[in-house]
Amino acid sequence: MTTQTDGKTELSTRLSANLDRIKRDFAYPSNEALIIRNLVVASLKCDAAVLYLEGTADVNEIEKRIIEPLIERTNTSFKNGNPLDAVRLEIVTHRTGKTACTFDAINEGLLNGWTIVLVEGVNQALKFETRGFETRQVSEPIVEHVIRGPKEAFTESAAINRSLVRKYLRDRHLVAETLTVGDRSVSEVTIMYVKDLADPNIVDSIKQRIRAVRTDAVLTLPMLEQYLDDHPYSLVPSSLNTERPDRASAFLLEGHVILLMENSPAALVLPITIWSLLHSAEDHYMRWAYSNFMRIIRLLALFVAVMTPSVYIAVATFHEEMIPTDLLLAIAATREKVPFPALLEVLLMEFAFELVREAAIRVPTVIGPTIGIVGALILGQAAVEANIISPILVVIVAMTGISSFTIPEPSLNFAVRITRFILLFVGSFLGFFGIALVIACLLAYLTTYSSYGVPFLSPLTPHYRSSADMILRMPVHKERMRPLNLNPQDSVRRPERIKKR
Amino acid sequence: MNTSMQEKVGGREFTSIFLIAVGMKLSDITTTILFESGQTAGWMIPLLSLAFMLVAYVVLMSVLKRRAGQGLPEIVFTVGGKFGGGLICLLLFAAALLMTAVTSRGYVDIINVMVYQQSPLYALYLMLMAAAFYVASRGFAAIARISWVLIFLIEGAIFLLIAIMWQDIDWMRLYPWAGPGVLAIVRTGFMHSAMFGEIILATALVPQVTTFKAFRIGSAVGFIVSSLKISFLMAVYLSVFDYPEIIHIAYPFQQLTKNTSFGRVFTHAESLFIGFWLVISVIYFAFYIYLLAYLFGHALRMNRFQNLQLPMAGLVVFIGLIPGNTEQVRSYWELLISYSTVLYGALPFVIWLLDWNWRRRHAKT
Repeated sequence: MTTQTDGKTELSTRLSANLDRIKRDFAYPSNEALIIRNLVVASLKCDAAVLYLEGTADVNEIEKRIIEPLIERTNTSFKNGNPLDAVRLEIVTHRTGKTACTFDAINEGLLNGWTIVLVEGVNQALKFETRGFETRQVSEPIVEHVIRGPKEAFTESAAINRSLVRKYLRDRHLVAETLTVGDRSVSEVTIMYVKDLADPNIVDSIKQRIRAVRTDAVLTLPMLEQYLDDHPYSLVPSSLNTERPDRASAFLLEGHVILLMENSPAALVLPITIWSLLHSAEDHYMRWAYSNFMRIIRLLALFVAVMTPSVYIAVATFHEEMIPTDLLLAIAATREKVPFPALLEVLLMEFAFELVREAAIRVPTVIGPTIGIVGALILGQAAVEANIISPILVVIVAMTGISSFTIPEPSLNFAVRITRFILLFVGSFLGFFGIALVIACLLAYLTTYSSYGVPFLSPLTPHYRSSADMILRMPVHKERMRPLNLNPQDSVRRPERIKKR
Repeated sequence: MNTSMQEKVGGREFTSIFLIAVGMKLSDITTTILFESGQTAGWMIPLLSLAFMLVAYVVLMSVLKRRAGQGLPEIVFTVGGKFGGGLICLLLFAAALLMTAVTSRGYVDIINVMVYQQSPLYALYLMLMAAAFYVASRGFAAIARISWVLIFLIEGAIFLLIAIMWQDIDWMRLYPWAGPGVLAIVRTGFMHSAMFGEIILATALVPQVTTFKAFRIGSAVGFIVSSLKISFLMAVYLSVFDYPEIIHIAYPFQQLTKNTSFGRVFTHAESLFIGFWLVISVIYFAFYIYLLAYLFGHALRMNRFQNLQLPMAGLVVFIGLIPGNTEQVRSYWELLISYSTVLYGALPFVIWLLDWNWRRRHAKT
């Protein structure tokens, strides 16, 4: 920032010198964003200037609460002798008001939408919070939609996001601390946690990591997530993005920490376990049996999404005896016309499916539906009729694809898709032997992987006491324990009460 | 988060690692060899070996209990001095190394014979050990945690296998129940008690377990349940295949899985069982590689014994490739078991005596 160029940061008592310095910092007059309103404080009979950046501040508020009182108040007897205190405490009617002593503080304030008031003869400035960035209204979640439950999502404004979290979690121990990252463009990161639940060690370590980020600018939360990550090359994510304030609040209540940032319509939850990636927002809104049914389906889908193509290849190449004889003959009959080896067939089909998937995200929404039609027709029917692939493969790839859509978390979704290809190659090379070896290695990796110090598969292994909200869940009245793998300061959700009849 | 707790292994995880490390014997060449010498009473041998090994185990535990928190290497170095400690550690290491090499060769033989007849033996061997090395390199915690994740699936699979095969079982085939005679059975049981040598070797890992109580319960439960399981499964093999056919079947467990079918449609489910069995074998050998590196590292008093895992995995493959065929593997196995029985049986008493001597000397001063 500017101080690095000329070193001096203290204000002088001369108003014109201070103004010159700020003008230089913001490249005024070529930069028209800096607005300077010179005026005379009527009651003090001295010169002053009001400064703000266009586009960051709320102009109506500045006019009504700051400029109007400064010019119109003519009362001349003040309780405070210091003109700055007189302005702050007795003239201006704005709800905030702080003094700033350095140009650094002034510049940062201006960039974040604060209004600065400079007064002749004082080597300090006043700043008022008049933030007025353009934001979007609170809308429905796009990725994590549910049938039951609230339909509010985070927006790009950190203030609105904080208020959404507070709306769900009205706890006086809910702490919102602000840290800054970035050397050129300073962004604020809000770290929220429940003070008497979250493990102070985890909170401290996250704060330290945020302070340790050294870079020009971190514009959004997904970028920050990558800066904080311990395992940048790992397939497995170590934090979770949620766009739902209710879900973020539920995580806070378990002792997790969430991060919010300006311009990011999501909250970053840390630390996480594999279970938080597998669960959906809705799991706890449905009744016990329904949500467990969904969870079992999703778990099966996860296995199908990871394993099916590789198991098909392994069975077709090495273990044909596993397929029932009639089906084996049927498959052989259809495969007779296909000239390619099974692996190439699967790779072709999987590649085509990934193409459709990527195209569907990138394509403008207007022509979106055509992708589906072209994809289904070309990849399904035509490819089979042209003898490029066999019909059973269409079934397998389609099953795999649909299964991978049921995985609620996008990061996990990618991890699953990439793992599927690894298994596919190993399965075609070594059959079940290879698949078994890779699965053992995968398990070894997952069991020792940790997210911000919390083992990834805990509280299953290493075992901790918890409400067993892992693969299945218990009815809500039995979920009394917080998962102890997060080392919460208070392990019981609800003190022991008289047993219900 | 308490980081030291994360690396240590809890009671559940340790128990399941024991259930796997000891229980795996029901699926390898051990059972065939026991049937050869035990005939129709072969299924009793694990129980008798268990009884003999329990004596040694109790003696060793009495020393361990007095020095809670210390593992076998630390104790033998204290009571046996630098030379004696190093010698005992190296002896244990040598026994474990040869045993691992022979056993792993047996596993690769099974894979080669039962499923991958066309693949070269050394390639299968290298890949199995590479996977085991990777798992071991993730630490003891990884091995233990995977065991805990899988243990219920494993026991469930065994239960399923028995349930499927139940209609083929004829318990009358267990008769004549004494086989070659009571005395012969007891002698064979004693001579083969080294097949539970893990119980002595595992005491090296006491410092890796959260509490001594967890270690004691885990090892005892794992030990007893596994030997009961092996014994029961051997009885099942015998009553399905009958004697003397059983001694001509090289791999009864795999043969049993070959006979499984789910109804009339899925007539062959063995690849499923074999795949599952392979995952567990990787963990089994990972445990051994970890143990070998641990023992050797402590014998030489190295701090970074993890670096020894790769050489250990390589050494196991090299030694394992020496036997020419399965028959040789079996004869080496028999030989090794007899010698290690002496080692594992005598060692606890030697350590107890050394410890007694140490206490006497230190009581005076």
